Amino acid sequence: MRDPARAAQELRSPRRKGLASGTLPAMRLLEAALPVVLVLVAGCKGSSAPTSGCEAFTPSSKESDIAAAVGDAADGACFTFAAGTYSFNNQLALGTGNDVTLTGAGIGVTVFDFSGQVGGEDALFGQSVKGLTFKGFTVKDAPGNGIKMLSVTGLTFDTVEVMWTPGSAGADGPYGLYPVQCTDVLIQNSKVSGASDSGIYVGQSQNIVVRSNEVYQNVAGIEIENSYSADVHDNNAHDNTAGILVFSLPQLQQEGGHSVRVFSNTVTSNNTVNFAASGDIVHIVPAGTGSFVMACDEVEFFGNTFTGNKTAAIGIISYYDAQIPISDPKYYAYPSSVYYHGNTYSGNGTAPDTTSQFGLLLATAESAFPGMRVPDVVYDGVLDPAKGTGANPMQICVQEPAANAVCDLNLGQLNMADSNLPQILTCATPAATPFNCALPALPAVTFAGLTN
Amino acid sequence: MNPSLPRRALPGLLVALGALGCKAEAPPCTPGGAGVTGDSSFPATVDAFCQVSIQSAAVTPHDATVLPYDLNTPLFSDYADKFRTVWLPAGTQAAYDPQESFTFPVGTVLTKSFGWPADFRVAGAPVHWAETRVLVNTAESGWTGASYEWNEAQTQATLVAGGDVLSFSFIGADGTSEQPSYLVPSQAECRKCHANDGTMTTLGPSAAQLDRTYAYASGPANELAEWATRGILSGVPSPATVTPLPVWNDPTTGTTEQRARAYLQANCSYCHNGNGEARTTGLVLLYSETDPATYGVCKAPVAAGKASANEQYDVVPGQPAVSILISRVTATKPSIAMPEIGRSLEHVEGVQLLTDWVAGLPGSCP
Repeated sequence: MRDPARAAQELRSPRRKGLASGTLPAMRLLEAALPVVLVLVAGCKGSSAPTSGCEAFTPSSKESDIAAAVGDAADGACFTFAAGTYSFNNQLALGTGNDVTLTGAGIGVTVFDFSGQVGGEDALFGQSVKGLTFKGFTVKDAPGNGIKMLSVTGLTFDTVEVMWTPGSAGADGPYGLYPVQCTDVLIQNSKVSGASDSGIYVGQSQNIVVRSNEVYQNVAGIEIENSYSADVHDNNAHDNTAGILVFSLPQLQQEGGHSVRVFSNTVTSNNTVNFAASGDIVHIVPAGTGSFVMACDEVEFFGNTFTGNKTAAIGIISYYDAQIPISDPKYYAYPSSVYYHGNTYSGNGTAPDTTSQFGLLLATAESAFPGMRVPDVVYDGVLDPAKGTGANPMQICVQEPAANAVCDLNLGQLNMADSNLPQILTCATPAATPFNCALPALPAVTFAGLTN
Repeated sequence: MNPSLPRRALPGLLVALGALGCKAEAPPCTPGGAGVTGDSSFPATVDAFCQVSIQSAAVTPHDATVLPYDLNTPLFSDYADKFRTVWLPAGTQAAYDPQESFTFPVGTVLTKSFGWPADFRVAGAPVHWAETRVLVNTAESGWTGASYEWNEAQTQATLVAGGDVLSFSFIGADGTSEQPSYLVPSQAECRKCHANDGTMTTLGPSAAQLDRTYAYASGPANELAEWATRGILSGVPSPATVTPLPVWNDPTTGTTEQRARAYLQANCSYCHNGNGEARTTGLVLLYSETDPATYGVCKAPVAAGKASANEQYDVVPGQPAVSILISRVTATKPSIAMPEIGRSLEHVEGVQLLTDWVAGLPGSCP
């Protein structure tokens, strides 16, 4: 039944679409106005979300009213959600409104409980708009993904939590915060735990800042996949299977992930047993992984602290290690121009995960590694034949005096099922390897509305 | 029309007029778009459109200008019976396209009603109609849609802008008692299936889907030919030159592979195409797709997560039991089940068709 109160509200609200017919030309005039106006508006984004003049909901609001209001939101609409728990039976889908904001009273204070969701693969879903901001709420126990946003330009998650209660029926959603094919993405001060693929997953996107988040008890804490220009910094990735992944995968619309900076993160004790489905690409990642770079170009890691990741702090690998056939002629399977400098390491590589093929391979070579443990930096050494046979054809640069050793597994010469790794790998202190080189620093990511 | 009048007030006005005009004893109201200009301007009740009503448990077009149609292979929606109509403003025409959905003029209204008899084994059992979805092609917002839920008495359907989940039961054709959690989509959820890279489109009315016979009141006729005869579709070639989409459950219309691919076209390709919501997966399930790896054969999943069910490929020739596509169309758990919305029950017969197709595919995966 059409809620008469809502209908009345629509009549009153100047923000609703489809009001007086005279508003449309006026809007166009505004859009064409001075760029200064746009800059001023953009400058407010991310730091503070509007809460006055917004449509307000409370835990006693009907789900259908929330869904109708959010789904029909006009440009510039904002919604507030008072403290308390909101139970949803259905996914919450956003509509066509640009510059829409959803604001709660804080993580763990405003809680959207999706444990009863019967339809949809995502708890919150939106697509093909400009300017969405999510702030100050928790999405709890969704049967599928937490918040998926497709093809949004100007997307902000600020102080948002996605969590799955350990042991609950919904404790296995794949992705927490999940922008895909988005542009100008800011994810900050947020938390994700319990994701069976990646807590914070940014795929096929560009211009991305992921900062000051906490991710734990996910398979991958943070994954940047097939994306261009990302800054991942000041995050705390702990107790996941793997802390931070920078991947490029085949058979996708946007490939060739590049220009990713990972800096000033703490990556600690990511030793949780890998609970991803075995058909899932992150299932190949051994527990105890600090970070993996797979098949990406121009990646820079600096100022990170890797502590207590039992398989290895850093892995640099080709997609061939996944042992999945590639039937995509445009895909490039090798990492290149990857630069590590100024990171610190402590207590990593002490007990590789032998339940994973890659971890088992490392374990078979444990006695051949310096100090009888997996080195802080592991490079699979699978080389692109087109790059020639120089000492470092892929431009992997590791200027890491703090790392105990850098090992090249030379896996290009090896079948993964083979056990000859100790005979073919080469290890050295960082200063003594062919990888003791520097690459130009990558530029900081900037986009309209991004403030420090 | 007074331009200073807030548009929001218009639907209410039309409802009032419609309520007067649509009574059986009163002069009939005029089918149309009820003043819809976008998502937030849909009228409160479906009768404002004067497109369909329910008479003796049958969805009934308001008049002869509201034309019913069927598709060769429809979307499965928890075994719902469906009744579709198309209405175009007088003097306008849709443009024929050999491949894509037809291009309809502004003002076009499509409706699709969903209902269930209590027992599918009883021939001619009355159908209880749950909802009627309305798509309007507007000058302001392009295609825009909403759903209307019918009351128990089946006399009126009211707007459910925020969607609903319906729990009820019926006896299936095989005698099984079914209890769906049937989703009436919110307006935003219309876009889950109908939006192609942000633009709302129609899904059913295409040449391949409409190249079939319909039992019109005036007698059986080919739907494309009828649309041409009525002057609502321009550029229609001779039906003999059109290739119909195979009917998924009619073996006389295609091989198992053709009918399985037609089923995927109708049930999956609105998302699984180069512009649809599932474009990020790389899996394309259009009937026209010719690259086996692109329609799933030996293709590793990308973002399926737990839904990959510990299997390696979407489709493994000869091995439906380890094909992720089969497990996902079989599953009913949200987040595992495909399609993502609109199906809470397993479509046993559809799954069997897809299983037979995969089982019969030659070759193997590495």
